[in-house]
Amino acid sequence: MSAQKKRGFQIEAFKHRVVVDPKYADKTWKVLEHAIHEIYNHNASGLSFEELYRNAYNMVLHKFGEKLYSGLAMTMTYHLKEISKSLEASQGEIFLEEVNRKWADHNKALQMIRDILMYMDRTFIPSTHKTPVHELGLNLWRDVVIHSSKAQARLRDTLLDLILRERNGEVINRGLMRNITKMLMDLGYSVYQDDFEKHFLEVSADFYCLESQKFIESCDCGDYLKKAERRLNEEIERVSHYLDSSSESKITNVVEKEMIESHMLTLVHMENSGLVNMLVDDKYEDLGRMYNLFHRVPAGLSIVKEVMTSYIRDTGKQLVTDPDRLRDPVDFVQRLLDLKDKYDKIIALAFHNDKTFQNALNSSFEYFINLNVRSPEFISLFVDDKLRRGLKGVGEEDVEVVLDKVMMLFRYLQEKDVFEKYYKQHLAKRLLSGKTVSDDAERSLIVKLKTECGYQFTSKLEGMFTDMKTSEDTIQGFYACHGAETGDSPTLSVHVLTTGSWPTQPSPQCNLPVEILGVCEKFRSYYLGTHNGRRLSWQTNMGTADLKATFKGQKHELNVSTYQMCVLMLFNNADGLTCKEIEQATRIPLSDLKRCLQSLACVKGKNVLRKEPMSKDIAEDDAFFFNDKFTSKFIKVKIGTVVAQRESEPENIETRQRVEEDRKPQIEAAIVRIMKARRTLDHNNIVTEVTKQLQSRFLPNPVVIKKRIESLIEREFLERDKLDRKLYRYLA
Amino acid sequence: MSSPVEQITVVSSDGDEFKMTVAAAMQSEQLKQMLTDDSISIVKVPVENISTEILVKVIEYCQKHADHEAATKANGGGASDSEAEELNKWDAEFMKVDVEDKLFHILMAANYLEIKGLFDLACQTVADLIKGKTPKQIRKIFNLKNDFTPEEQERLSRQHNCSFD
Repeated sequence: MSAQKKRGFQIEAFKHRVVVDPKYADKTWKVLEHAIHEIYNHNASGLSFEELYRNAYNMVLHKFGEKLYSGLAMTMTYHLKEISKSLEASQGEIFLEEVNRKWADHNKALQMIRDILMYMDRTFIPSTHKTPVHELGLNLWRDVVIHSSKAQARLRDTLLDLILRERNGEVINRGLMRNITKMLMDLGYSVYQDDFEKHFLEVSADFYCLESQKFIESCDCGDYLKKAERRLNEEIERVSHYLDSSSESKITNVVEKEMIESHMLTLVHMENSGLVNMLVDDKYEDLGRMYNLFHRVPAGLSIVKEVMTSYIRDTGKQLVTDPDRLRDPVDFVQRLLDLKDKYDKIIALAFHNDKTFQNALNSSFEYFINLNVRSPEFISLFVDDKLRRGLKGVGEEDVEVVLDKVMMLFRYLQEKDVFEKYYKQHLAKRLLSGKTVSDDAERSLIVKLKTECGYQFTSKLEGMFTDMKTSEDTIQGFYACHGAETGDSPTLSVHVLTTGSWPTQPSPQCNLPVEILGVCEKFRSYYLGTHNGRRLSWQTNMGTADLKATFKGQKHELNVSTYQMCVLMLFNNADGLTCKEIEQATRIPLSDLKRCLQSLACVKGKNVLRKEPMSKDIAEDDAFFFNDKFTSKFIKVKIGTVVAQRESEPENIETRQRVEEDRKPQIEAAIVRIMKARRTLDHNNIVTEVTKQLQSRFLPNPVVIKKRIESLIEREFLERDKLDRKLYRYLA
Repeated sequence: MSSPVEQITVVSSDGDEFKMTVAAAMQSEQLKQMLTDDSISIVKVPVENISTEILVKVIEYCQKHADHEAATKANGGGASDSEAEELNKWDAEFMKVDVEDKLFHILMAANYLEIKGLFDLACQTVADLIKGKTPKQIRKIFNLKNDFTPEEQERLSRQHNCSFD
């Protein structure tokens, strides 16, 4: 016979009568009950563990587990009720300590009881799904002792009162607090929350709301932030010492909300101590604190960023539109750099190099630098000043630092092509007058510009350098060939400039003095001999000359421009000449001539000519005489004016026009490029694409783009779609 | 942690004392509990449920298994197959006891002292004894009285459709 398998029938339980003496159960239980009493009365030492364990084991074995269990519950409840009564009776301060002590006792007792009843715990309880002994003990404690009506409120109030006292500066018993909160946690997270944490957070919110009000009214921003930080740290410390760690984020949220979030705007805009004042006074510590605190609060940092951005924009705007500043371009740019440095430092030291702040700074700079249309020119002048003399004697690394800073400003420019134009002009002047401090620095900057803007931007500039080098070689060749013949002629130094690379300035020929003409012609024939098919024209408005002049006092060496040389050489053959006569003799354009004469006669310390009448203006009939009485401390006197200067208004307008003219073909080229690739495109998209393509050089005006499109249509590069006026098509 | 005691003494219901190493004692959950619990300090453990005879057997089992565990640990963890088989053989031998006398008592002792291995072993032995036997045979082995009334017997045999012989 095999055992039945899987037939789905039920085997009825044997109605086996268990023959056990009920009195036996009672007896056994009495023993255990007695033991529990002894345990609670701190008399456990006299008990035999094994005996009790065996008794409990037997009870469960003989099916009296239920009796045992309910007996246990009853006995424990009885003892806990006693404890609860005694706690109620305890006075004031002692209450908490008593709770703590009784809790510790209960735990110890519970442990012992559990050990004794281990067998029941392991077998009877799982099968009947009752609460295990330990948990039962905790639940009873919770229900009988802690949640007895008076105790619950009293416990909570005592805890909160102690915390309040500590907040007000008193020292409290933290160990005791720790034990109590731990007890609540042991009774269950929800007990901790409902009995304590919930109320704690509420009370704290009220407390901080009040305190923040008080502080706001009495403190300035920096102090308030210090206090807020202190309280925040205090709460975090409090949690670590005697609260459950899950409370940390909750209480910090409360503090942040009450002390910071509610008062954000007030703090930032506080008179005489708010964000703006901190920025102006470089209060790094306060700013750092503000950053850290506001960081914790949603939208906190964006307020700080907003205020900072608008302040920087205003400051920058003021800077660039202040008429006083505009008179000195070098100073203007230096101030911009200082402004940037200041805020870079603030962001680094106080704002942890936060990228969003860095971006805000950049966009602000971009905004106000481009408010002033002359910014490109000024930046170029700044560079010019530095490369002429500002960087004299400065170490290589420091040079790089300055140039990098300049590049940074350059990047903010929208009209980079304007900068290019001015830079070319200024560079030309520097090269030709030999006034650059360091060739390496010049080249370094060109490289940086090339990295930033591409080869095209710098190809002409590099051409200028090449010309200078080539000219040197040419002159050496010239003198090697013709050195002997030119022995007693004035020494000639020629720079041959390729027309395309250098800023073009139309220069009518003036009459060179006889002494010069000879050697000039020799050079011309030498050069054309070696270079076929080229044309040379003398740029008389760009040259310089060194003259030896004998005055009554002493001999001086004068460094003058070519024009000035022509004028002065005339006085070798005449003592006095009128302006008109000079003009006829030299054929220098009148406006240039006037400037030239002014520099020779009207400037103190450089008046090698005497003028009658002694006025600043030059009239045609004014007479000029060689000033025998000229004196100067220096043997070598510089009179030439080839230094780059900020342009006068009319010059500025002229340059602008030229720039606009140059932009037209660039825009057209961009349009053609885009249309060739896309074939058909509507108007708005063309404008967007063109702007995108050209933005590294300048910001094209949509009106101008429209005009260029129309011009291209006229020249049959594009056509308009018959049906849609806004659509254009590329004509191959 | 109480100071390490190398051996503990167990006292049977007859009053005889036996020494057990701590390692062997740890085989029993109950003894383990007592040893690791600070609030109970014992050196002599009375086990009044268990007679000397049974206690001897139990201690033997515990010792053997404790030694086996220690040896396996020394070898670095996994028991080799041969060693496990050897242990099984030993266990089988160990359980060849008089049924009436010792089997159930050993089982009860293992339950009381919570020695899982021994308990399972004993239960398995009982199960093996029952397997494939008729009720009559089972009654014979375990010396049980047939306490069904004839009516009950009849009803059951009809219900379950099997012979009770």
